[in-house]
Amino acid sequence: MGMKPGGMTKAWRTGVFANVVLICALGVFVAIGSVTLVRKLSWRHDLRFDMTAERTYSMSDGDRSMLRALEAPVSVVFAWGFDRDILQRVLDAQGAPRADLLAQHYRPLMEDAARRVHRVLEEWSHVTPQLTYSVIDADSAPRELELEARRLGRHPEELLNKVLLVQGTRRREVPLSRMMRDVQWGFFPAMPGASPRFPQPPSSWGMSAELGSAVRALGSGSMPLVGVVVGHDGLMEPGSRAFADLGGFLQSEGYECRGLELMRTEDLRQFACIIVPAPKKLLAARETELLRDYEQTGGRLLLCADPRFAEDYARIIEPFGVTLTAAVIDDRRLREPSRESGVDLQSMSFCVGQHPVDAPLKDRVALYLGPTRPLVLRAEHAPAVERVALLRASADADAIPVTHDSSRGTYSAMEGKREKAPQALLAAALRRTHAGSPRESRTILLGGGGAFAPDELALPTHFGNRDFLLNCMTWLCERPFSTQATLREESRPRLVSVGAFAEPMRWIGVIGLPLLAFAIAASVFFARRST
Amino acid sequence: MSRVAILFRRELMAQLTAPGTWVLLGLSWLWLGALFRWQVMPSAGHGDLQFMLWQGTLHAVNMQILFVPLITMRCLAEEKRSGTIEMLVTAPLADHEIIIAKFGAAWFVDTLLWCVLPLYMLVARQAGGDPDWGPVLAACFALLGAGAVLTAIGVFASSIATNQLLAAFVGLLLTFGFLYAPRLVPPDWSFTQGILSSGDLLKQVEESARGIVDLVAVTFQVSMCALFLLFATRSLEARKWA
Repeated sequence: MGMKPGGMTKAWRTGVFANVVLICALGVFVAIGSVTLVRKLSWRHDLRFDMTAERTYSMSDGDRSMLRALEAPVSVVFAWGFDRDILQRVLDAQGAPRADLLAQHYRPLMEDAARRVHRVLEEWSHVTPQLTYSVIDADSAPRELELEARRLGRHPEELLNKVLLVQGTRRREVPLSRMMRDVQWGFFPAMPGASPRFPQPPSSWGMSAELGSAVRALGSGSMPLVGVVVGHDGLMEPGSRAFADLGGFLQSEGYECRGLELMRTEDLRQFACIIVPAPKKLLAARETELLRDYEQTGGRLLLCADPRFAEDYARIIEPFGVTLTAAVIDDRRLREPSRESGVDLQSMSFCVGQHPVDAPLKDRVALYLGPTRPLVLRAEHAPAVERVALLRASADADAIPVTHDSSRGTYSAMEGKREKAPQALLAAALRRTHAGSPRESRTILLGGGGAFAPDELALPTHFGNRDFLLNCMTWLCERPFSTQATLREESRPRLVSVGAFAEPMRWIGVIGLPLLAFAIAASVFFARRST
Repeated sequence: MSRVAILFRRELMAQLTAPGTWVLLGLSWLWLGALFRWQVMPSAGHGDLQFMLWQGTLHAVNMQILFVPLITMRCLAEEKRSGTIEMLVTAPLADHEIIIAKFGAAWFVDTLLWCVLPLYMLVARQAGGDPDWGPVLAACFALLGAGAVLTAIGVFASSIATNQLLAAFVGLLLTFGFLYAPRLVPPDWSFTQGILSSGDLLKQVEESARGIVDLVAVTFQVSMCALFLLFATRSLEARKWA
């Protein structure tokens, strides 16, 4: 056995080496083990801390209660990968998809989207044992996708880039593209002859809101029938985008939406709720009578009264001691920021917060209302009536009287007769108990139809209009409340004026701090030299 | 004062009284400031502070790839070159105490690199902005964690190299590899990518800069830091007995 300098034998050195390797291997094992253990724990308990002021990444109470209310198992399948539409966008001259373009432009964005969907499903699965899910990367696990497709009786291609929710025989599909807000070049259908455009990261995501709608629709059991009064050239006539969007939204939330011609429908009691969406033409006397009878037998009404159109709800709302004024609210404090006029209302401060419909939304989300009539709650009303204010203008609001020309269908505001309308109500919830009816009637009266405009309903991450409408429907149809302001994937932007920030940033960040470091370096250098 | 604290103080003073450290810090602050001012901030109108914080944090992490090896290269390699390593290892100090003290000093200097980021947010606040301090704090935690991992890697590189230049080069390769390996794997190597992506330090920092502190990420960073410090300790010990 040869002796080395230092008196150590080869065996000794081998022993030391083995010891080092063994301890290092043990260290690797412990490190991987601890990370794996914590990762496993994170599937059972939420180990993430949301540090944002607005709790942007926290699950809302509404989502939690919605999931806990699930009575039957829901299985969710989400498969993502390059579908036929995407492959057609990246064809080379020989007609074959270019792998480099797919990897560079589509894969990262789709991975990000898939990760977000996965995270929402993962968080949800921690809340309820009723929800199970599988996320399949079609490119790396084609066999798994094929098996899942066979189980569901679908072609694998049909499952790509959508979330499929199954509860018994009921199914819902949420396309991935619907969860990406704003312009998504490259995810829209290819335009013939147009130059290729690749996808850009969306400015906001709507995973939680869209999936939440789908789960609510699945878990809501039977679908209440909602009638939308048509035939008055109103805001929502069948065939219009507004009607289709409202119908699609209600259906996704578990309601069946149907156009309703009052004079041709024999029994209004089949409708769980009737929406009267600001008709342009006045309701006929018989129609008003039908709606009043419906209300008196415990019916549920959502009445919108747009200031641009004349209305005749008086006979229906009279017993509640509510008057709709022929005026439009001008509220410069709560106006839509891009408009000069205070008639277009939009704010986070409308909700009064005394009712389950608006309390969860108070000071949390913005509502767009557009032009709105003021409501007045008079002291006198029928017995067994309850009235709760839902939305309110600011104390500085004015009411501008309007006149309508029913023959031309126009209206004009009388600016000269503008007057203060302190604390004008914009919406109210009305409840009435009838002696002869087995159930109470419920009515929500809203001074404008803008709240249910399609553009606002389509923006769940920016506006609370969806939440407001959903809460109205939930209260009217007596369903369990699930929406208490859904998760906002898009938090309030915290902006700074570049003009104001640029100068101090240049002086402090670019010049001051580096100069300070160089000055310290110089002083240290000279101090060392002198010693 | 414990032996580790004494050695830590000595190492820190050595780092802070070296003009090179301050020149390096000055250049880094200049680079980070210029990137923030002319790349992260929009040229006009209004800028989103959350986005600026996110981008600034990513720039700060990327700068550490270059900064950390230059700071840590002298930790042990310099001792070896100057011959003081024998004195150090024969002093009444355990190997892990030496490594922890040197790591602590280097980590402190590394923290000075990115501590200007919350300062930028303070400047933005003075300029009328309203930064969300939760994500700023989360970003600081993430930079602290990422800095600890990268510094530990740098100390390890310094422990295995015989001179400073080699230590810096090995440190650069290791830190770059550690940060970017999960992103450099071809997409069709899904198994490898799956393993590496769970330890994607950049992704963890990115999440934190948006305002989420994930205990899984914290555990990963603590584990990796401890692992590389263990490697460095064993490397020092092996040298002693080899």
